[in-house]
Amino acid sequence: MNSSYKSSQDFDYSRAMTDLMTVGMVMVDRRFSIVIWNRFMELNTGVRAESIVGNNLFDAFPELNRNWLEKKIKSSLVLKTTSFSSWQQRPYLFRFKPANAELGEVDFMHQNASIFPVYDHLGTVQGACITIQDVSELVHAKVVLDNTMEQALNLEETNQRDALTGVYNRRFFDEQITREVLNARRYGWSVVMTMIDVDHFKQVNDTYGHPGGDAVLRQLGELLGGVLRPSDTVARYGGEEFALLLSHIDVTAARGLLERLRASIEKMDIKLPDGRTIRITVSIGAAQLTEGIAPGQLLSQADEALYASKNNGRNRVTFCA
Amino acid sequence: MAEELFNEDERDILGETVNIAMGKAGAKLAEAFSGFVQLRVPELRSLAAADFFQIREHLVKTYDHVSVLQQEFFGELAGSIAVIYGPASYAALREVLGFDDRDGDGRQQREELLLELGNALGSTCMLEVAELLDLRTGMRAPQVIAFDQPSVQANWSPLGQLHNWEGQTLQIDIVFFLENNEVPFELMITFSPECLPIVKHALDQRI
Repeated sequence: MNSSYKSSQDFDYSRAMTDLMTVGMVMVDRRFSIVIWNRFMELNTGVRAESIVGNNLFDAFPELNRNWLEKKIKSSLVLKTTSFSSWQQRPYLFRFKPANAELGEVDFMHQNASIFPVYDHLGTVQGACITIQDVSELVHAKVVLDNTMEQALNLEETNQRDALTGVYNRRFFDEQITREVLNARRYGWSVVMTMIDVDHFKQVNDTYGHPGGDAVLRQLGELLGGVLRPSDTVARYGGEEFALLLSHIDVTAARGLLERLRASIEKMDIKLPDGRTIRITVSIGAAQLTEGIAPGQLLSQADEALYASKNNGRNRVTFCA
Repeated sequence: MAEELFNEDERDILGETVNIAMGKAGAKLAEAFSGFVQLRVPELRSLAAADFFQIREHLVKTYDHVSVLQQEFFGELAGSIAVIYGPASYAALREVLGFDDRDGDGRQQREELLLELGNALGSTCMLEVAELLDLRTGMRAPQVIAFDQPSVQANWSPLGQLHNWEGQTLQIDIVFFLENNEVPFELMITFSPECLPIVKHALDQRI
């Protein structure tokens, strides 16, 4: 942002622009004296620009954390980059009353802030501009949503999640398949159903005991939950079997994704409770939703493809033809 | 780096540009923050969607616990920066930034330290690259994606966006250290494939 105050006409134009903004704007020079104080700041502080311009920002607002804000501004000037402050870490800079009384018991306006260097017409940094954005309504909406979600999740969580791996359980997944198939048919997007089975799992249990087997399933569940997209669903479908629903993905992309997943699992070091590490492989079977196929049939097709992977040597991906 | 991204001359110019940019960024960061900032030589690589799992594996093996930040840049240069911070000494971060602890030392304050330094590193590097290529870019506010989590559980989604790509794109991997601390900040700057033709054109102007 470049500002020049060589003439009163330029200054008036800048003032008109800044007063129209729905965010607070405070410009300070290198000694933190206030140069610009826009209408948003006037309305929220009750202090007019003509009263405060020329004053030191920290003298005028002692509640500001001077150590933090000074350092932040200085680093922005040196680096010539924008610095940010989010309400999630620091609820506000200035103690302004919330604009909306319906936002409940909130003491002060929640704010996001940006600080960026201001250059003169020669490209020399002359000061910093602080913008203050009122995000109180966003915060309120998020809090309401989070509370609602938490209540809903608490009610359903134990019914939906597999206790060992933390991914969804079979019951939830069976419901999800039906939802996904209906949505896919309604909106015309593609769905790929996938079954993943740990190879030689009985051997793992026999060799390392059930704690070892549990460690394998838990870490595999973590991997699957961590690498898939938000639109995908992963569940523990059986003892050592996981089910994946991939949506908004065509067969070519799904093949690539599942092959990369298989390879990644093959290279994954699994830590056992006794400190040893082992590696596993998985067999994968997949089927794309096509016209006229019911959810149960889709699952069966993926299962058949999984069976083919097992029969053809394991540690591979097979798509239903 | 894959030849399909840039030809030999373009790769040479790009490597030179990134090295100069990181050098300038390092000098600015040293001026802004005390006790900073040793860089490892930046690594340029071409990246395909298939490489995501490998990168994740490498990061999980390298870091026992991590915090991960994500910051997007947009404009003629566009993409995403993943900032990975390993076992953290927050006292060291506070000292480098020059912040006191009057606001406390809880999770919010620690996240703020990470975001401040991560933004400084990512923004400074990115803007230097953009300036040398004479391209426009802007930075969005960074976010905490994972905080002090075991790396196997961390959300690596900033890297996971690679899933949907075909072909290759450019990634710059840089590591910063705090002096006397050996605490690394690793930056993975991944360019959006759509901006590569613009980068290519900018490099060609310099050949």
